[in-house]
Amino acid sequence: MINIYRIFRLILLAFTLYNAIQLAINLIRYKPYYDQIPPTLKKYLLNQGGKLLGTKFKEHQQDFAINGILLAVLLCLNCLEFLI
Amino acid sequence: MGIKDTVRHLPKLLQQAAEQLPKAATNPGNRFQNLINGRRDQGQQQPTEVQSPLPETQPTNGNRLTTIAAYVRSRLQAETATPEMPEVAAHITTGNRERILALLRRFQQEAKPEDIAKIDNNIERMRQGAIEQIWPKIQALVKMIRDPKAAWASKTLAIGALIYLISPLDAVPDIIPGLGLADDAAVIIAVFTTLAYQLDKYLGNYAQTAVTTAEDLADIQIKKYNQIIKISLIGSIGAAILAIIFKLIYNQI
Repeated sequence: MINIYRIFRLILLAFTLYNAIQLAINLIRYKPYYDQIPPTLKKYLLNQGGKLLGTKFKEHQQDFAINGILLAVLLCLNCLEFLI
Repeated sequence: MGIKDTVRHLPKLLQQAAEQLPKAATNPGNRFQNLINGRRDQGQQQPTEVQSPLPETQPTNGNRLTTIAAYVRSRLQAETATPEMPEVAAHITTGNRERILALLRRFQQEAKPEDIAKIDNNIERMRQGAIEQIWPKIQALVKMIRDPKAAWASKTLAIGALIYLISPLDAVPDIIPGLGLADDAAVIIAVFTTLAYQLDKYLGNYAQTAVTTAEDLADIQIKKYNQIIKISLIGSIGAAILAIIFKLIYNQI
């Protein structure tokens, strides 16, 4: 039987893998530039980046929570679909 | 004629003036013409016309004061316009150096407050090619010329450089691809380096603005991707529910 939902999930998986590969390519491309940054500046940038991410996470916490709940529901449904 | 001679001839001059006064009073309109004719009769060269900075028509007192103020301001600008030019010249090392400096000096000397509006209107269209890479410097210069507290002498230099930038016909015409904007960039960098100390605070403002803008952009991106993920998850949940229902129906059959 052709399971359309399975095809849909495979498409989503392919999309996720493609983006993950793109991220890895970008990390490899920019790593030499990152390595050239002096350690002090690197530490400062990491601190600033961490602070910025923390601030942004707090600002959009509600959206992240909603998406997390939706993801949990989807996982449960997938498990259910697998067990049936 | 020295001072002593003037003092010695003073009584004679006063007497001549007293003789001329009644004539001038009877026909004041022809006095200037008579003086010119008198010079012609004596074989002297007719004086060349001196262009007055003030308008020929007699303005009202308010207009006249404004005109005088504008004239005084323009003279002050011309007097104070050039002290930093040698430093700028030291920073320009490209070809056509003399022509670039001559044009920049001219733009600087002719700088006036009205040029700020002209720069504001035309600066955005210059954001291309080599100019794009030095845009923060240009922004700092623009901020400085807008600041009423900034020193006018420094402003004239910045205005001169920005006028040079927006002028299509400069040392290397801007229409030449690749090279056209290179001289403009060289001028901007030279002036920026010369005024670096004064421009520091405007760059600081720019950096702060850039950080704020970057944070705003990050917010927009986070919201956008949250929405995309939310829609995808809701779609996936719907698809999963449909798949479960179909599977249940299929199992029943």
